[in-house]
Amino acid sequence: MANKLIEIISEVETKAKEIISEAEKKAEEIINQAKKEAENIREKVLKDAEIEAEKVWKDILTRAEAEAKKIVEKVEKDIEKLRTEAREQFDEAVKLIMDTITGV
Amino acid sequence: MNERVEKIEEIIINEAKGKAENIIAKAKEEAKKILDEAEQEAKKEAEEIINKKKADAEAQARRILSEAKLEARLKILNAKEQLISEAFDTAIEKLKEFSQSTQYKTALENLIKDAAIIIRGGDLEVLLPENTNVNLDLSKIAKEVENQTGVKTSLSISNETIRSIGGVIVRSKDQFLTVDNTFEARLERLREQLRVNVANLLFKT
Repeated sequence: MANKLIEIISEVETKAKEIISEAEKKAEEIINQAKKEAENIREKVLKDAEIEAEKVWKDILTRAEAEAKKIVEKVEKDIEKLRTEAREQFDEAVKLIMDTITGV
Repeated sequence: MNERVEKIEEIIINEAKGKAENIIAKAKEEAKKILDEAEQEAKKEAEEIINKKKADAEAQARRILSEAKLEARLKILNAKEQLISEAFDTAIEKLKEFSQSTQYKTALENLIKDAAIIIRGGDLEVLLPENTNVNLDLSKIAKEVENQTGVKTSLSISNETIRSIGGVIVRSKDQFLTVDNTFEARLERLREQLRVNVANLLFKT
């Protein structure tokens, strides 16, 4: 009778161990799955960051190049203005040189 | 008896199930932690990537703008330099014409007088460009030099001629002292000062 009882309990304990072992296996799968997902998240976030960084880079440089172009275009206009204004004083400047050189 | 055995079985199995649930719950918790940490770290890394790229782009943008500003400044300077050079070139052309004008005589006399005063008078000779066709009143100039320097002065035209677009060289007869008042020499001596004055005149604003 006692042997029978021990046998039954032993069977139940084996079953219990199986339940725990199954849970441990499942837990390992959950963690492995999470690690995989984490790696996927990391890859996606970094890939998005690279795309965003390229966009930021392009935006900043496009703005800078446009501004640089404006500076160069403005200077062409400034030079035209400078030449026009200087032309008005040009004869006087030539006269100044001549007067100084000839002493007249 | 059977009931008691079943009860024991139930307790052992329930305990095992409880432990199993606990293991799964901990695993889920751990999984959540892994995902949260991964997301946080990735976000941090992403922010660093974007910030670094932004900083690099801003540095590059500063270089582009600096170069544009420098190019603009150089263009302005070149344009100014070109206008100043044009003024000098025009003046030189006009100086060549000037040596054929009626004012040239007065200019030559002034240049001779200035040179003679610098030498402090004495016996002086005047060297003129070849083909100079001007009737100079040297005795009048000598008198004016004497008045200025207090030294008896004589001036004569040298047989030696010079290659110049205009002006004069005055030297003592012993050739110890010479003042080069040709237009070219004066231009050379006065160029820097003239450049400043011409620039001030041309680019008032």
